[in-house]
Amino acid sequence: MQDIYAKIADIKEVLNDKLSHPYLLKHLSSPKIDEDKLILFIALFENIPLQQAEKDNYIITAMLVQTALDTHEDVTTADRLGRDQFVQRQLTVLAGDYFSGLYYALLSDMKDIEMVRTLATAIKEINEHKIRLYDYSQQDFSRFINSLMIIETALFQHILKHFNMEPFTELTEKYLSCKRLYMEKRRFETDAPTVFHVLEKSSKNTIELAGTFFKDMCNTYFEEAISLLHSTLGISPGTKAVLISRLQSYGFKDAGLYNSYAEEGL
Amino acid sequence: MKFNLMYSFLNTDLDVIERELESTVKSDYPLLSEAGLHLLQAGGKRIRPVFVLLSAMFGNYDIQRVKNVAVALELIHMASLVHDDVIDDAELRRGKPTIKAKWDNKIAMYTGDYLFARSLELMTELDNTAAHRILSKTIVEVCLGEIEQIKDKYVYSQSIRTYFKRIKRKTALLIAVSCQLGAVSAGTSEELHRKLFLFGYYVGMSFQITDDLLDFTSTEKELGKPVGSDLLQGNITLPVLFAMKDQQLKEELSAISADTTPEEIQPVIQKILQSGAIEESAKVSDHYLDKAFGILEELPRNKARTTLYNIAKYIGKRKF
Repeated sequence: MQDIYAKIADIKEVLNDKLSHPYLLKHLSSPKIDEDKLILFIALFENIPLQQAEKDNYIITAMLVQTALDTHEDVTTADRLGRDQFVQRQLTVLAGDYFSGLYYALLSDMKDIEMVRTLATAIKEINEHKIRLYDYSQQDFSRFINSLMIIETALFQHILKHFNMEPFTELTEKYLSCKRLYMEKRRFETDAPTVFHVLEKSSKNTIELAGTFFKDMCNTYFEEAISLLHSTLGISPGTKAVLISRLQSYGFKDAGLYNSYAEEGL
Repeated sequence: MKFNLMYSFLNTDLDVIERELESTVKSDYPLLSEAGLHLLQAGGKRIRPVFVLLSAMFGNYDIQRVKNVAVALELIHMASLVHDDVIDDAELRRGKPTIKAKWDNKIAMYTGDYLFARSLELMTELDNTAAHRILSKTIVEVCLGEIEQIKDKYVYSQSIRTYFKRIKRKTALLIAVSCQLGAVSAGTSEELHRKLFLFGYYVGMSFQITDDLLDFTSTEKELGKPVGSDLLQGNITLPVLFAMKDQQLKEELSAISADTTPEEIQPVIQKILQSGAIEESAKVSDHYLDKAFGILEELPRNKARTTLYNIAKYIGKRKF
């Protein structure tokens, strides 16, 4: 258990060092690092026969991409902004661009042009689906969910394919989809900004259907993700335990989900 | 001579680039294709692809090989423009609504990120690790330059050195790298592609200085934005730095802030025009052009060299 925490801390330290820029830090909060994705990357690379330094570089590169994408999600659309908020928006755009440049530079230093292509293809796909999601009015609900899943998992799917690690595909898909749905559902219920608000453009019937669908989907993905975590070979017990615990914590406050699984002795 | 007539012998290959750009920005999703095509149709001089192609002519020129580099560099430029319009909250670019104005900031951010990813996909067709190191370091530098530009806004105490460093990152590097990577993709010697980098750097510096002085000397119609926009937005350019040698004008300029209105800066613009700062800036631009011409003298004589000379001359002397 200690090993995985030490590993997370080590990678985060290097990542934070790369992401830190004095002027950005003066005006923006520190970049958000998605720890679930970081741990999943650590778990995946445990199974890839590379030198440890190389594995770490790939994990850092992938997390730079993820952080760049997440940073651009924070760019606001409001028309009237105060001076400070306006500068913050300007710097948020530039911070995301800067982090993107860093991943390319890191891979160029590693002379791994194939991986540049792999990540660029994932980023292209993710942004196409971000636009689809944002422009929900032209889609049906299942496509909406499909786009959401691709946004969450495309980076993993392309990296897994790059290293011929397909057995991990389903695990990352279920884990990350479950987490995203929990998060969005919670935001929706507390009236926080969420992609589900685009559903308001749809009929009442669609919203009600969607509500039921989300709940069922959360349950299914949670169950499948936990099951896959138990059955997937090659993940150390410490890493497995951390991932299960994190997934359970997301569902803990939601409609008895966690409790029902706890009672079943998971 | 009109700008595009200088390189009319490249028209067939530039058509290839244009078609490639069109197919590259297209996506399975209509809105994304529409945004990309909207950007392409807004035009632009395609300076970077022209520099890529001309520089490749110093080596083994093969349009099928060099086109990916040319398209990738133009896409990087386009992606940066889409994000710049979010940064500047710009409604118009070249007289057409920006992506952020036609849709919104979110669509602009996603489109810019999509175009940047497409550009890197294309670049990876070039199996040359040195080229990728050059381009990736340049992209990081360009971003750092843009961050510095925000930091330096309304900072009237900044030095001319700071200004030069900023425009190097903001403009000159991408033009320099267009020349260098064109040459690299055509397999030229390191000595030759380094010289082409320097040529592009000097031309890029001259280009940006000319751009900065045109902000005062041109018209709103020619610029596609109000005269003095840079000054109003707090961008301290070379004419402003030279004008501040006059103590009284320095005091007036230093009073310009984010709260200043377009009407309030009109008298200051007139004083800058009369201060000699424009002429002094033009001399600096000419100085960079002379350096660019000096580099060309060291390159093999061919049609590409003559064209690069004419383009550099045009860029330095353009009126808008």
